[in-house]
Order: sequence, then C-alpha cells, then structure tokens
Amino acid sequence: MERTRKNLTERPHRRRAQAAIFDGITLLLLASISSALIFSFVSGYGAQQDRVLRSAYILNYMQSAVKASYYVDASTLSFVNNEEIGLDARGRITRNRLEIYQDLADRTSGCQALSKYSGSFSVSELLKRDLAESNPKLDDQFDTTNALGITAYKCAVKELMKPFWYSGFYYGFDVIDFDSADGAAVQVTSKSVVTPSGRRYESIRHVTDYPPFLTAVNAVGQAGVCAQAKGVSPDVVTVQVPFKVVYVNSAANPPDRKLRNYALGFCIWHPAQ
Amino acid sequence: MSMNHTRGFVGPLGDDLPSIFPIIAAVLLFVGTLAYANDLVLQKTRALETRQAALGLSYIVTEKGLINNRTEFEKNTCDDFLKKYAVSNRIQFLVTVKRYCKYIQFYYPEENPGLEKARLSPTYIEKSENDMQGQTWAYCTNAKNVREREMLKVPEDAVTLTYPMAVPCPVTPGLPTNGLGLVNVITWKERGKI
Repeated sequence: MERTRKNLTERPHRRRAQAAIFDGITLLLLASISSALIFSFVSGYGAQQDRVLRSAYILNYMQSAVKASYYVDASTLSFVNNEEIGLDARGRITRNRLEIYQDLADRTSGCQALSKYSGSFSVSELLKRDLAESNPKLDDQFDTTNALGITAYKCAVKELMKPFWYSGFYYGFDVIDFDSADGAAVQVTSKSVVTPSGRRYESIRHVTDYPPFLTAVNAVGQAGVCAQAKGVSPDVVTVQVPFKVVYVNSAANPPDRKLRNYALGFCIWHPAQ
Repeated sequence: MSMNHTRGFVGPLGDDLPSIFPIIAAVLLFVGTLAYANDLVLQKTRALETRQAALGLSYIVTEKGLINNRTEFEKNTCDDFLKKYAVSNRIQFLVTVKRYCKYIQFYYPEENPGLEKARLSPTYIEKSENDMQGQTWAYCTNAKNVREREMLKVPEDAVTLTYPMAVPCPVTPGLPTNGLGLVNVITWKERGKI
C-alpha cells in the first residue's frame, strides 16, 4: 500500500523531468537542422549570379579582342614570335619556344613579315584582303599577291588571348561563310614550315592554341574549330561578329562585284575535367 | 509522508536543469548561425555588387576597342562617364591603360634590371611617354589622395578585370599607328559601405 502511494507521487516528477530533457534535445536537433539548412542556403547564395557575371566578363573580353583587331596595325605585330617567357620548376624566369606557334616564327611568312605593312593595314583589313578573291581561302594570298591575313590574325589572337591562355583556357577562331549552304568555316590552308634544326613540315594553320587541332590532319571538320571544340568541352563560349567583304572581279567585262557575308567566330573553352 | 511525497523533486527549475543545457545550446547555435549567415550573405552581396559595377565600367571603357586620345579619355570618358557611373553605384575605381606595343608580357626577364617591376603593376599610375612595354599610358580614378609615382593601394577584395585594347604605338614619328594594349578595370567598395 505504502509502495503504491510512493510510486504514484514520484512518477509525475520523473516523467516531467524526462519530458523536459526530451524537449531540450528535440529543440537542439531542430536548431541543428535549421542551421544546416541555413548553411546550405548560404553556400549556394550568389553562385548563379557569380557564374553569370564571369560569363559576361569572358564574353566582353572576347568582344573587346575582336574590336581591338579592327584597330591594331598589322606592322606592330612583327615582334610576335613563338617565344614565351615563363617560370620553370624552381621559379626562375625562362624563355621557351612553343611548337604550336612555330609557323609564326618564320622570318619570311611569320609575324616578322608583317613589318612590311607599316602604318597602312589593320589586322582585320588584311584578313578581308585575304578573303577577297575568286575562291576565298585563308591562304595569305590576295589572288596572286601576298596578303598575310590569316598570319596577322594568328599573331594578334595569340597576344590578345594571352591572359586566358595563361589561365589554362583554349581559344579557337574561325571565319564563317554565311553564303555557303551550311554556314561552313572558310578553309585554312596549311603552310610549309622549317624548324631551326632544318626539319620541314606542313603546319596546319587553324587559329587555336589547342594542340590536337594543330597536329592531326583533318582534326577540324568543315564547321571549324569552334564547332569541333564542342566535342572537347561541354562549356564553349562563342561570339560571332558579322562582316562583309567586297569582291571585284576586274577581269570580267563589266567588272563583277559581289558582296560576301562572313562572321568572325571566336570561342573559348576549358578542357573537360 | 511529506518527505516521501517530494523525494527526487528539486524544484520547478531544478527539475528541468538538465534540459536547460540543450535548450541554451540550441538557441546559441541558431542565433550564431543566423548572425554568421547574415555576415556571409552581406559579404557575397558586396562582392557581387562590386563585380557587377566593374563590368558596367568595363562596358564603358571597351566600347570602341581603341583608346588613342589620352586627353579625350581622361576628360570625357573619365569625368563624364566613369566617375558618374561610380558615384551612382557607390564604388571606388581605378582604370589604367597599359601599352604593350611589341607583345603582351606577364613575366619580365632578369636581364632587364633597370626595369622597375612596380611600374608594371595594374595599379601603378605614373604615366610613361617613352617606355611602352607594360607601362601605364593613361589612367582614371575617383580614389582620394592619389599621388603619382607610386602604386595605388587598393583593398585585397578589389575586383580586377583586364581587357585587350588598341593603343597608340608610334613606330615611325608622325605616323599614327595602333598596337597592342591592355586596360585594367579595378573596383572596390569603401570599408563599411554596402
């Protein structure tokens, strides 16, 4: 009888204490979950805006590179070659000769040859001249005379894209022919290059710093470097700037005039991780 | 009877004492998380606003792709557009135009000891007429107490955007020739201002 009464009086206090501890632990658990949710929100906050702003910066950079090419005189690029100053494993400054830009180091047909266009031609004007022929090709020729258009663009783009190149990005550059049925890139002809050791080889002259597109014949299809880059990386940022070229066939009677529509296709990508 | 009745009972607060610790811990954790998260959100917002303003300034600077008239840049573009944009966005900025008339260079060989490396920094504001390789040719800023012949001190969280630009590179005297250049757009917010 006594034991029963004691149990009856003690149980409510114990239960209340246990319930209070349970409430406290539940509250702690809820607070922990809430904190985790807040941290999850904070970690994702601004990430999308940051991506958009970075992408806007890259696009503006590429547009600026194309705009600059309208004004940069080709003759000022005559100092550009395949030599790059970098750091070695010990942090010392070294000079390196890059094989992918071997064709630019050629004295007669590389960047140095642009010095003959002193004060007269911008890079884009030379490119237009390279295209203004009966069968448009990027071959550094304006009919039978030299017009180092694709060489000038290679030299300019190599320098203009250097900040991104140093950051591990790859770039590509095409001239898209809007008058062709499928909007194919204008064909870039190869060039015979002689290395300092005397070895002669045919250099594929696509405007890119992505080595596989420069070493293998037919690595780049008809659609051009930027279309090919989509197979290498899922994130290829591209800008296209339209322009027109007037072609005059003075041999015809009366002279035949054609307005051809092209676009500079400029792309940048990071290799897939 | 009375002793038996209250055995194990420490009082209304004492009985709940063990539960107070998790409750206090929960409240501290939650309030601390809120304060920390608020601080992080403000920091990120500040960084995003600074970056957005940097982009806005760069759209003005890179509008043409060519800066070939220093007076026009420093008077018209700087005073009429850049400074007004900065005021409306409550930011501080520095724009430096660098000439690299031969090629763009980030490392400088040791064999050129006369070249003061600080002069090649994006924030160095003394203008150079003759040396072209990486030297500042024009600048624009709304920062206070600017003294030339030194690097402008900018906060660590300043946003720097670099763009290519055609700039004057006189090869033959009297002949206007444009060559390679870079424009650095550096923006930051003053401490305590959001």
